[in-house]
Amino acid sequence: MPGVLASLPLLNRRLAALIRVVVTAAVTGMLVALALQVFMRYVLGKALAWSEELSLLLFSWTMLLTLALGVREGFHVRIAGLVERLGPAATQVFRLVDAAVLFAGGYLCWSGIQYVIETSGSTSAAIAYPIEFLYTAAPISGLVIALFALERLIDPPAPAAATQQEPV
Amino acid sequence: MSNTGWILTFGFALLVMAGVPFTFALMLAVIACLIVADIPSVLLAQTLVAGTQSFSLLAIPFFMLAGELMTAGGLSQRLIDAASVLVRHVTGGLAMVTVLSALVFSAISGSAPATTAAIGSILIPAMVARGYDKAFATATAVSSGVLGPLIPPSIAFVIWGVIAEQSIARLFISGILPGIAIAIGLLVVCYLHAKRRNVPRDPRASGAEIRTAIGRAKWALAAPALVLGGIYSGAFTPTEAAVVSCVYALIIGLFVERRLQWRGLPAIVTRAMRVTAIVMAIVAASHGFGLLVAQEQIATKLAATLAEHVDQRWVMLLGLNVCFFVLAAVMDEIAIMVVLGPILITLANKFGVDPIHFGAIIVTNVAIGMAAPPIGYCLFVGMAISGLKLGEVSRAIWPHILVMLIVLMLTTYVPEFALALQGRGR
Repeated sequence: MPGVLASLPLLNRRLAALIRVVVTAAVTGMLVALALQVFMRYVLGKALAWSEELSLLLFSWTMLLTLALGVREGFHVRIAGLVERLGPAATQVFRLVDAAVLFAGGYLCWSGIQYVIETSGSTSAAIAYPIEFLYTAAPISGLVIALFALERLIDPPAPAAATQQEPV
Repeated sequence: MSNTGWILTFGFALLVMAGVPFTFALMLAVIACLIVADIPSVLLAQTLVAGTQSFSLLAIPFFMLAGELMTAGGLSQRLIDAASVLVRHVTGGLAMVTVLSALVFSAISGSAPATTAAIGSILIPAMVARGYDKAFATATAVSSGVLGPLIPPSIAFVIWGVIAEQSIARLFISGILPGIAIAIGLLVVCYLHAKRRNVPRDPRASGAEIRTAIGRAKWALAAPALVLGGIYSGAFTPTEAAVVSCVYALIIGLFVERRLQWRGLPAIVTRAMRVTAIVMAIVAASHGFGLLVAQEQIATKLAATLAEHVDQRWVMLLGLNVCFFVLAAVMDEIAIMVVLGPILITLANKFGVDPIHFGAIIVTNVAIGMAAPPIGYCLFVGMAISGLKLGEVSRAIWPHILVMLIVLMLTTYVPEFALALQGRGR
């Protein structure tokens, strides 16, 4: 077990890098699909049946993966001010918060697996892609959230980085 | 109240106060309800995915991306140069340039902090160099960001449109007059400040200078026309307009002005998706939360209780404005919108408020919350650019906030004001 935990930072670093690549590719895909949709309608007078559904599929993946990435980068919006007033005890509360996020990730992963199993065999409305393509995003996002939160729990980031807020 | 009712109200509030990020506080409240009420666990995964499966919400990443691309491609600088040659010789001219370029930039970007960042990073240092007080310069850039969500396109209106099931295009229009009114108010604040402090004026631009600056800004100035013209001629949906404006920014940046580079694009995309995910994580997680709130009929009960004690529409609206302003001091504005949305809509229906007018009130509130101390996003962006502390900016921003509150009152109590541009078909 210690061996597995020791390799967690490396695994997470690679996961985060992979997510950035996947997200960039997915956004490119959405952009191309929707630009093509507009182009086909105006220039060729033909409506595309698949472009909206495909871009929504990629959108769900992009958002659920970036949501997980936010755990590692600490960019999710939260109120840290109240807890920070506690002084030294604040560190303990923030560890509890990381533990809670770990639990949420784990639950989402489990819930997502159930969901994928339950809906298995269905297909999407327009393209008729297997619905697993979409719903697998939930358990994977949950797993990555849990992995990123676990690393924070074992090796908490510096307080300044933990409270930083990024603009919307 | 049932167990799930307690979890969804006090449990959620406790998690938020303990520093759990909003998106996870929403998810954890849902999880707790699933466990306590013995509801199948799939609901969490199901609602989270469903929360992202909305074609309207797909406009958000692309409006974010368009703003990032335009800034990286130097279009914001061109807008600023164009505004500068027009008003720099007036008293308070450079501060007015901030407001005016933010007004145009808002017609490309739908986000308040992105507007403050794009305009403020250039103009805060420029204003300080020309003798403006640093705190005033920061406060002006921060307040100009408020125009981002009011002038279409607007991410806040997209989200409200999805929650309230109203036409996003019509909601967009209702933000125009409040946005312009705030811009005018801010111009007055700039003038009065510069007059009292005797800030030196810049020389008037020559005709040739004006022509050059406008000529250089033509691609940037055409962008709002493309986005808004596209939506209101019925050519594009708001989501398609966002995509078109990304393609436009790419073409101009890569091939016409050549300030964008291919290898810089992945970083721009990741940055845009990060800021999108901050908002979308909350919106998606609130989907399951909202479902449980609806099941518990919390919104309906609360609205009914409130309606028993309040019988005047204006009292309800005033209460709403005050609550929003107070809540925005401790909570994320988008989170307020999605969590309280169902209650607010029930209330508005009970008091017969026009849904589009109501959307304008909510988004004006949201926009002001973005600039208002102590936790407005634009405020953080402005502080990061200027290096000033919260207290310093907060002291300088009160005149600006006052202007916004006056416009908020106008938007709230004069429905004709927000609805004036809606046309006859209403």
